[in-house]
Amino acid sequence: MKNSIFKPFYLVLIILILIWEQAAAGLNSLILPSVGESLRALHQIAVSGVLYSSFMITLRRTLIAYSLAVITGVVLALLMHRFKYFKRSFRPLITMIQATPPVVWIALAVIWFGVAEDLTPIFLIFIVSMPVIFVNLFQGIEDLNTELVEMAEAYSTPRLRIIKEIYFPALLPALVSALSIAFAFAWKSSVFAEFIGSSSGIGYQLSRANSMLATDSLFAWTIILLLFMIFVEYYLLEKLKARVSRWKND
Amino acid sequence: MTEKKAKILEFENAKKSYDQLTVLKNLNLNVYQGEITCLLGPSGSGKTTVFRTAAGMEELDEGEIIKKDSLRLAYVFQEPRLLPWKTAEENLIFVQKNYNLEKESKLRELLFNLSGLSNFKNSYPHELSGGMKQRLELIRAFAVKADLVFLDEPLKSLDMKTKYNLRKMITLIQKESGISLFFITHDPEEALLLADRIYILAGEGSGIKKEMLIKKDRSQRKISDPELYQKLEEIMAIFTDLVAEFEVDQKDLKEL
Repeated sequence: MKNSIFKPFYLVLIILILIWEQAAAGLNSLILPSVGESLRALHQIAVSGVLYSSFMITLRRTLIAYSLAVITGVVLALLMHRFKYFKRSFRPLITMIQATPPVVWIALAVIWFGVAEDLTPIFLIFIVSMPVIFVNLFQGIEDLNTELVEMAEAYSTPRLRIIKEIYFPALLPALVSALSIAFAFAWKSSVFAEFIGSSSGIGYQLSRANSMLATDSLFAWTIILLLFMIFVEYYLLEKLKARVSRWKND
Repeated sequence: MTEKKAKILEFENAKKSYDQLTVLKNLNLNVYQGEITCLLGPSGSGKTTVFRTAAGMEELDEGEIIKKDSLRLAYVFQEPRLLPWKTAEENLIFVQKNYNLEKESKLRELLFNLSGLSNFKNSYPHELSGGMKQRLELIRAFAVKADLVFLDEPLKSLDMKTKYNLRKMITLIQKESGISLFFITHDPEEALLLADRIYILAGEGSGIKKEMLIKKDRSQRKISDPELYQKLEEIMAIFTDLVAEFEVDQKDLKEL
């Protein structure tokens, strides 16, 4: 994590919080709760145990569907790179999946799977994040520097070593970037799916807070969602990105 | 004298076309053991095609490349082809592994010292200057104990000083190791300073125009030397024939 990025951001954050607090002072807390009210709601959610259980449910669904999306996206990208016929046949299908608005998928998922515990959110996360993995990785493969492969072949390098020592390290930055973008999609879709078609998880808690006009809880849950995403993006993935591209010129 | 040396690679009636364009036709040339053979030709004369077909990166349409299967080849590309995620030393080890030479750390040490890169063994290619990358590209070819090294205009994009130093380095390695080199260049002076044998390739699909032997000791060569200068004139005469006559009345140029 680069602290230099965070320092100016802290300032922006403080200004945003001040604006929020100032705006809330003149409004009903049903419309805009104050910072204090939102933090109190957060505290209540935390001590009641709902925070932990809902968070774990959403996280579990996200990770299952995300893993499936990663495996499928990687396999499809490799197959389409290797077999041009396969690419011509299926590439437009991925674009169609990607172009379909998530709300259509969730409507269909509710019809197909009902307000199921896991299936509806898992389906939506998969269908939204798989194309993201595929598109980013496929682009990386297509942009691969074939001159290096040619050099290795000229020096009689065995195929397996070419895959391990040229293809893999060359693709790693594209893969990590794909993982990072897709995780943001997955996390958001997860909450969206639970909001509409589930009876558990953070999305469901958001939907409950919404129907009960508990705006402070709505803000509390949103804070949790954002904090987790920032942790993943700037802590876990940023470290991974730095590691896989340490040989790159910054 | 040189004719008695063993042929190690031979192009026989080679032909290669890309779509409508015939790049090589009736190409015959020999590379002899222990020599520096230069393929000299202007841009677009098919020099790189010779390199690529000899290296097995492309197939000939007709004709043959005759060489022993056991002949170990190494390559120096026009633009350095280094693995960016490996350090300088790892780049050498990468190719050495293919010939079970990865334990030859002394050989790597020698090559790093020779190329002035010994302080950069652990640097990644992006940390090296253009000239240093080209030096690394060069020593990689010598790290595999090859029988024949192909060099595709390795000095093309370098400044005068780096060119001079690398030329010296190549000459020194060749002299001491006796390794055979096949050097591609568009620069007649470079060919005259380096080669034992020059093949002049002129114009696409025209085959070899002339084969030239240079017997003078490489370390004594200067382009101002009458013998070399005369050969330079000969080469320039061949090259000039290739340039189309201006098809305008020179007076019309005043309009510009």
